[in-house]
Amino acid sequence: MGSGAEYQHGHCRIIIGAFLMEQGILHMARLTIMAFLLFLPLGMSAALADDKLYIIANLDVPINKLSKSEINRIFLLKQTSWDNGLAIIPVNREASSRVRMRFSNLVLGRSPRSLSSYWNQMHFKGYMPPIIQESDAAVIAFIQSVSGAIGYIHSNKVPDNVKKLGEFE
Amino acid sequence: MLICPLAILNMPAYAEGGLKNYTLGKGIRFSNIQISGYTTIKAVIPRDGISELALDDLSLYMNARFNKFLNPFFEAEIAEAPIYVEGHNLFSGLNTKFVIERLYNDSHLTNNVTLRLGKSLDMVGEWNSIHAGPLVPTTTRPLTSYRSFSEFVTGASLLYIPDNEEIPSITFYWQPGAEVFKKKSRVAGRRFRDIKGLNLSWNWGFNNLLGLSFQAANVVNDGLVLKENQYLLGMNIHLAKNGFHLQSEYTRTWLKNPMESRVNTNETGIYIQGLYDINEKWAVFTRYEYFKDRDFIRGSHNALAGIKYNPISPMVWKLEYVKQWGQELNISTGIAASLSVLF
Repeated sequence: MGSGAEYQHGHCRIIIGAFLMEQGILHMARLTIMAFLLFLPLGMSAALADDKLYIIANLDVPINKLSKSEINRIFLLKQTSWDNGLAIIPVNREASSRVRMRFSNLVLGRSPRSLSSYWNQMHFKGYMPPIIQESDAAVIAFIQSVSGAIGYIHSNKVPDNVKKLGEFE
Repeated sequence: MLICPLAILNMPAYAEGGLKNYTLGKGIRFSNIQISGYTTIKAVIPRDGISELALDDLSLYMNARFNKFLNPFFEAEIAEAPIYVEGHNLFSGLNTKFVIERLYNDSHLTNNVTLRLGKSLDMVGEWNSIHAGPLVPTTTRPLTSYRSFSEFVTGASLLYIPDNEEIPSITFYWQPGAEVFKKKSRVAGRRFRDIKGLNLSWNWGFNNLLGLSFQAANVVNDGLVLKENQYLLGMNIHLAKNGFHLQSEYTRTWLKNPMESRVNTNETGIYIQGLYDINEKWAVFTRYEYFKDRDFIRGSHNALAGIKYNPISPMVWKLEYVKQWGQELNISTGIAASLSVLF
């Protein structure tokens, strides 16, 4: 009987120990997930912060550098041709893009919503709004292949076969 | 269908997704050709008059950029098509034509100077140059924005867009003879020909605008070309700050050799309008307008207040109450509402 009770008591301790251990693992797992979720945006921001906003253009574009006000003029559709007569084709990212948000605020100095409204008005007045491409890779591919195209990407290096016209931190 | 013209023009063929990735409000883009449009359904419930639900506008526009010299723009629309008129059957009285509203080509002579040839919008005031339902603040269009001048110019325009904001954008335009692809005039019997004009526009801080317009035109009344000429001075201003928009337009027109039946030898219109964006979707607005027409002794007054709702960016719903007093012109006391969509 005594040994049986000891056995029962020991078994119970083992079960409780296993239960506590399991709870500890679960707790750790929860903490890890929470930490991951909490710090993921910071990590992404840090990654974005490390990258630069590059203004890139097709190799046919007849200039090598653009000031912020010149980029403004192009994206606000006030300049529509390059000096050699080639049509300027500005390339934008989709409305929900973080890069577009950054470009809109940092370079154009306006909110994406007010810019959308502005482009709608300019389109009605007969100007072609910037063309939309839905990833950095698509922007790069477009600019590599279309004469006169200019756009922006978020990257840690300038891609091949495009011309860098500016960069912003 | 596009392949041949593109090959002839030696253009790069690219697409923005075409129909596959279509987004409302962004139109369809094939290579350097973009097709877009808008529609407005409008309901007017006057206090003393007949209520009406109408397709105010169904417009399709296409612009293309081929090279420095070939940049055509085309717009065609169905306007003011009644859907339901109180006391009549649905769609009765529907006799609407498709009209060409704009058709021109832009040649960029330099980075700053563009030559526009064809039929385009008259540059007097801000409202006339951006009059699409989804882009204007109210359902009811101010009288000042169309009664004293032609809404369109058929001929040549020279546009100068400066490099910096201190210098105004300058537009000279000239319409020899009459308008082409005539649209039903908003003011019965009144048209304009031989139009010459100058517009100066100072733009600063993105939304802010100050415009000055000068225009001379010959007046056509009920199809008769008259000796009557008119000279117009126009001013418009748009100030925007922290979601508040203040807009105003003023026109003063002097008549030379006026018709004998004219009551006044000049015409004056002014409106002042305030709009406040409560948030990204809701806005409230109010306006007061005075207009003294060339053909009526009494001046016309109207005031309105209303709300605007954008459930999504390319869609706008507006509801307003309008009070009119003095000479009744194209505006009546009552309720006006509209639903406009860019597509």
